[in-house]
Amino acid sequence: MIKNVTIGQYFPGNSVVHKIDPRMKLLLVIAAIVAIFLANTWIGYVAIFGFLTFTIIISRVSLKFVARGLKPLWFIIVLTFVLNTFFYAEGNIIASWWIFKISQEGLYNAIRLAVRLVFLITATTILTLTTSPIALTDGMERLMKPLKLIRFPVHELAMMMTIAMRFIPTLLEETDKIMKAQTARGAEFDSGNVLKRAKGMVPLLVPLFVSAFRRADELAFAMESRCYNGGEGRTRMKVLRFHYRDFISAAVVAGLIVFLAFGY
Amino acid sequence: MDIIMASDVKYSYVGEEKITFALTGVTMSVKKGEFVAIIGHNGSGKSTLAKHINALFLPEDGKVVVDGMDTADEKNVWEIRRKAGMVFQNPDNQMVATIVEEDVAFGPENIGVPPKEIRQRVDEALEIVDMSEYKTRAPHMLSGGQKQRVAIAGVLAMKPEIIVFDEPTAMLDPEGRAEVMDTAKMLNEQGKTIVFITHYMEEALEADRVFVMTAGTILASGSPCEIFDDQKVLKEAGLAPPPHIELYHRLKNDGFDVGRCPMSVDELVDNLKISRKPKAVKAASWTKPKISDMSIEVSGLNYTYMPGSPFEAVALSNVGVKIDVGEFIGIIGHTGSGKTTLIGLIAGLLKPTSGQVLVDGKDINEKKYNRKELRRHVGVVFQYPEHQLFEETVYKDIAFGPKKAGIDEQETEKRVRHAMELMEIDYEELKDLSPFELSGGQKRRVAIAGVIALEPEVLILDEPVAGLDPQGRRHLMKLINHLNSEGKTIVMITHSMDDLAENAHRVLVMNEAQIMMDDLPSRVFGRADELQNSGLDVPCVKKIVGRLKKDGYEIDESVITLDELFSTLKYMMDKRKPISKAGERDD
Repeated sequence: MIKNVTIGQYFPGNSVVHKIDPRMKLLLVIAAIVAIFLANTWIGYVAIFGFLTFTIIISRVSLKFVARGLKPLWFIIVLTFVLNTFFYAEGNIIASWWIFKISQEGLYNAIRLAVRLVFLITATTILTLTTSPIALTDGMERLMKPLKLIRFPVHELAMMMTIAMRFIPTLLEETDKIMKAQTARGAEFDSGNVLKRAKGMVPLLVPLFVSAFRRADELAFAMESRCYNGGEGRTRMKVLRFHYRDFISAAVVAGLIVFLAFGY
Repeated sequence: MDIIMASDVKYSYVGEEKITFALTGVTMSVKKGEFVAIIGHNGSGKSTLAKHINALFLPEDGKVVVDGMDTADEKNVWEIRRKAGMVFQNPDNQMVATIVEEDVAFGPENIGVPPKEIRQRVDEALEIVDMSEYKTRAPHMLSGGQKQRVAIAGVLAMKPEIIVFDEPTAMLDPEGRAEVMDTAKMLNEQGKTIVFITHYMEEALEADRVFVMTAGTILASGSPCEIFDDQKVLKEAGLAPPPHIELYHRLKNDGFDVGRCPMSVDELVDNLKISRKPKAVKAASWTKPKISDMSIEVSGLNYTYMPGSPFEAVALSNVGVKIDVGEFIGIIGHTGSGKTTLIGLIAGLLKPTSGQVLVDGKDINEKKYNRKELRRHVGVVFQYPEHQLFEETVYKDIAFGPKKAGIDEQETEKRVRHAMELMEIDYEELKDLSPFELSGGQKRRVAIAGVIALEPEVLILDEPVAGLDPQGRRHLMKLINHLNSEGKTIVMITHSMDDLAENAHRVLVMNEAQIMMDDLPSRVFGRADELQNSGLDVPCVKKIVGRLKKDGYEIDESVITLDELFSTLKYMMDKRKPISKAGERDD
């Protein structure tokens, strides 16, 4: 039942945050990132902290999931903190040991950077938690539409992402099946050194590739038979429309930016 | 009016080394509103022809005209594809979107239908195929039959005139097959023209007209009754009729008056002229050969998928069974009843939640247990085993298992040779070929040889004949039966009750994670009502016996194979007509 895995980290819900138009949400996240870099004072940080906390609360996403988003990046946060603490050697030295010196400015800088990183990740995590991968792809495709003018393959990229998402569960299931079948013939996937393991993957990878190509071939026929001809002249069933909640959320974020831009 | 017209269509695939002539001059036509079936063995050109109707392929020579439009004319392509929708074999490989309704919308979106109308068409199409309640689901969570119905909805949303089905039932279980067939018939009643390609002869019986293809041309066409009456055509095309028609042919060839070619079991029985009561037949008894004491014993077996998660599901609950060397055991049960889980546990590929699997008296889930020993006892052939082929040559692929088991070069070669012989694959001719160059049936036999080369005492096969054409199915069943007569224990999961009726010594019926029955085939299939209640079919022979019983003839319950029924009927029937030569056509 490996096929039950969920793609991405979408946390289904019905909150205002979930309902914001994906295009707007993407823009707002970019704006929030700008805001995070604009913030220079502790009051500014508190404001952003307040904003993010507020968003998490009204999105009704469990805090556990937000924390899970931070988890893989803890190492980088700690590393930046440590590096900044020790190698920012100017200003008021408050402690020193061997070649390492810790200055007040250095410490201050490190904390600031770490806080910014945490904010950044939290903001993007809220986006991925409250927006389904499909909505996200859709929003991106529509936002990037102007890029078509410079011949950027916007539609093709979006189509690729959709197909990839569609086939991830199918291929996972297939991987599981092939692994079992080869194990029954005596294959070993998790023993020996690196080289042996890599070689051991051949009985899994070859059939997987062969099958992926076969699927791609058949899918191409199926798409063609349903009149697929690229993005030209294509309409969509679901039309995205901005609602007042989109403008209100935009106003909130704009307010935050103005607040930060004017000195905090 | 002919909505599809093909005249002398030729088409070939150009490979690196050779050219394959897929269509060598096909002329056919289909009337508006007709339901036609196309049958023929693998590689006879059915799918290639289907792709011509949709302008996916253009004829190299000859002409295809769909609703008055020539497919070769470029400006017609999109209109033809809209008018002649296509449903393919593999339900997974024709879905584009991650949500059912988005997938149905894909076609109309492509042809630029306004959003509001797409919404309406999608809702309508899903309503017709009865999938509305699944419209926001992800395709991979649906059953095969449901996926195919979504694919049909995707075609319907384009408002087509014709729907071409390219073996839509080949990868489905009986339930899914019935869903697709019923939907196709319903759409035909609503006026759609249906072209239905299939390997299941029972499905072809439902058509208005049948085309038989072989070697890239149309060998015969006519009503199902005409086609299936013609033994010469069936033989030449490599097709096997459904059991009740085979019985009809055998009786007819023996000089009995059996009326016209029967389209159903009831029609067959109605036409029989019975004048005598059946005599008791001596049950063909089978005694377990004493080859070795090895046995597999499963007791108190429980298995739960993803315990503690929202997807938790009990796959097996308190299952116990004993398998002795030499037996041929069939396992039946609808999809999700726990069959595949059971064999996964016996093969040591899954760890039971609780309970024991004893192979040759040893618990295979004990830490000290040697896995290599298990491989010597139990070999597993999974569904579509050809998908696991990976080596450069046939020889290397079959030798993979023995090599992993640490068997030396000389012995490995002996085993590969023997395994190939058993699977009737020519050693000298094919050992150095890439397995990917072989035909579908050959690939499957190579994959099975790869498991046989491990020389396990017990061979477990999960739907070994699924997706093969009738000839391939028969051939493989014969080979599996031969393995059993050579002393190998066979455990076979299958949806084909007819295959089990002919071959199995014992049948296990699984239902809702438990073993519901474990008995002789004749007794298991004698409980037709119970089986049908849990969504399972009975073999054709038992259906005929059941119908005869209803008519008041007490036929021995041990009658299970076609041969047994044939000799019983021969005794019961009057021989009035002079004997005609076997295989001769008489109209």
